[in-house]
Amino acid sequence: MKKSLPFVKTLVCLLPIIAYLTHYNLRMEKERYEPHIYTLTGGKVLVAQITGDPDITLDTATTTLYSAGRKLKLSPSYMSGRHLNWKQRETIPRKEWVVHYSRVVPETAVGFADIKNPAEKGIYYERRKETEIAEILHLGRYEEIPHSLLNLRHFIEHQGYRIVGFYEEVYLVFEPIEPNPGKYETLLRYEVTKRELR
Amino acid sequence: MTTPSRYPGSRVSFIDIARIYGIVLVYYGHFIESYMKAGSPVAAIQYKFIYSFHMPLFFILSGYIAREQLNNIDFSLYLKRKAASRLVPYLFLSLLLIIPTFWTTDNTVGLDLNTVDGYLKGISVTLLAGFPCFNIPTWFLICLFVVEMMHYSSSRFLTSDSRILLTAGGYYLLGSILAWNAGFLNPLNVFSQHGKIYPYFMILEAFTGYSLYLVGVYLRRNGFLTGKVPVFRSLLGALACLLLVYFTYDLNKGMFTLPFYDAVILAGSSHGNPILFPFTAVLGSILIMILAKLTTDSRILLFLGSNTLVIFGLNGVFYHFINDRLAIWLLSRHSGDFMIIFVSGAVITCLSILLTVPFILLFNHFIPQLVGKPKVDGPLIPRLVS
Repeated sequence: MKKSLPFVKTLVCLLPIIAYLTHYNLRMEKERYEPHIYTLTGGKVLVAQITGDPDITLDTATTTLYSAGRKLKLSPSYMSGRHLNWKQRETIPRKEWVVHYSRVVPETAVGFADIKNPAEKGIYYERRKETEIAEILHLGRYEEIPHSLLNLRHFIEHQGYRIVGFYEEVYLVFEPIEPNPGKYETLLRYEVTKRELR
Repeated sequence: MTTPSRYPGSRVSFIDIARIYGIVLVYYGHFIESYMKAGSPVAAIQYKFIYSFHMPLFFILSGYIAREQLNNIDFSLYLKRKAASRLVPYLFLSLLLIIPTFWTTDNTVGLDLNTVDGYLKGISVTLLAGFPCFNIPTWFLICLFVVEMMHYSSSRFLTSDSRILLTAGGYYLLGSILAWNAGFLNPLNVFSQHGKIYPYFMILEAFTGYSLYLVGVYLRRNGFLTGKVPVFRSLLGALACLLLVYFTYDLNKGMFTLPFYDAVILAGSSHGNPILFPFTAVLGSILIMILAKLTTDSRILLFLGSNTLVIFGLNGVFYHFINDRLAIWLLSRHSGDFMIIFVSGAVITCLSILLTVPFILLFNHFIPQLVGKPKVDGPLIPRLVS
């Protein structure tokens, strides 16, 4: 009995901590799927600017940025596709969409190694500033993205913000990683700013 | 086996000097990091060079002065001593830096300190996840504590050189495999959007840290830099290490787990190439140890070297609240070429370290127990361990 007392005491001390961590982590897991607004940190990216239907250009961008990454000896990172004008999705035919696909690079990345004519291929480095964004995690097929975007836009409106700049998709889980499109994970982002009070 | 030269208080003098050289690199590296974040590729190269060995150096130095055999020490006593000299300063120095956030919250990594939730998360991560949100540099103290616990469990097997090297290799291999495949153990996860809090306590990096620690144990066991060393041969050795690190550090590319930092970041278990990383880490550390051995006569360095924990911990003030703004301001006023970056970085480093001296005196006088001297009686707090 005496021997088990310190164990019981430790357990009693640990229980509130375990309860707190469980509660916090469950809340985070739930909030992961809900839209939210935060400040996206800036940094340097390698961009491949491609025009066309994303059903086709996403593959081209993956190949382009992957091979550029190998040539420039870049560490693995996520790829994202940014529409500089968020209205592009609604106002311009898909095959005319200009998407700035990009991947994060370190500051030491400056040249293009043996990538020939990077400018002609639409490949360039860009420094992105801190930006206030609204974001939602979309689970599933790309065809269902408009539904998630609608939810995100309602959230932005409800929070007193308005969309001001780009629209971006970050491909967390996509074709090369996951064969089942139902399990794709894509972050959807709008650049936002607080609406001025009238 | 010869005994390393010691000065009063049974400290190994050249290890203290090596520590302060390491601290200078920490201060310089953190300031250069701010230049790098402000968009300087020149700073990024210097950063990569320094980061290829400066934190491994501290693990190697800790191993160098560690007791090889711990069989005769009771675990609870060992735990109490290590907790008093690592965890207490970790808590004090981490929570101390909450105070400046009442005035400025701009540069506190990954926390929204405009909300109660932000503070709650920061304190929870510091206490329960063992990662110091408010004072990032102090992650080393937690990692070293875990490394020392690993040493307690392994020390009885470390009876020969080959066993030490084999154990170091085993831990390194395991650490590398985990760093690549057990991302869920990485404490930086807490900073992602909706990051969850788990008791990470730097366990992921402790495997690699312990392998480097054992390199220190091996070096001491084999009498490396013990007794008098011939100056000319030492200088040649230092030069050889410098050249080897210089010509290899930038070969470590494309395998980092943090893609926006093309450099070794031990806090995030981002080591890059599994062969080049230990190569530059060990050679760079040996370089600093040799330089320290050749400069053990400096009393100023010895004073600073014996107070590295305070200087190290106070680096958080500059890292979180000053460096970024200063670097952006400076970069808008000069060309950003190599020499200007180097000179301004060196000047800021010296000034920053100088500013910590009054705090060293203050803490040593009033609360030595909270800054790594748990066996000392103070005017406010009694000794923590005998």
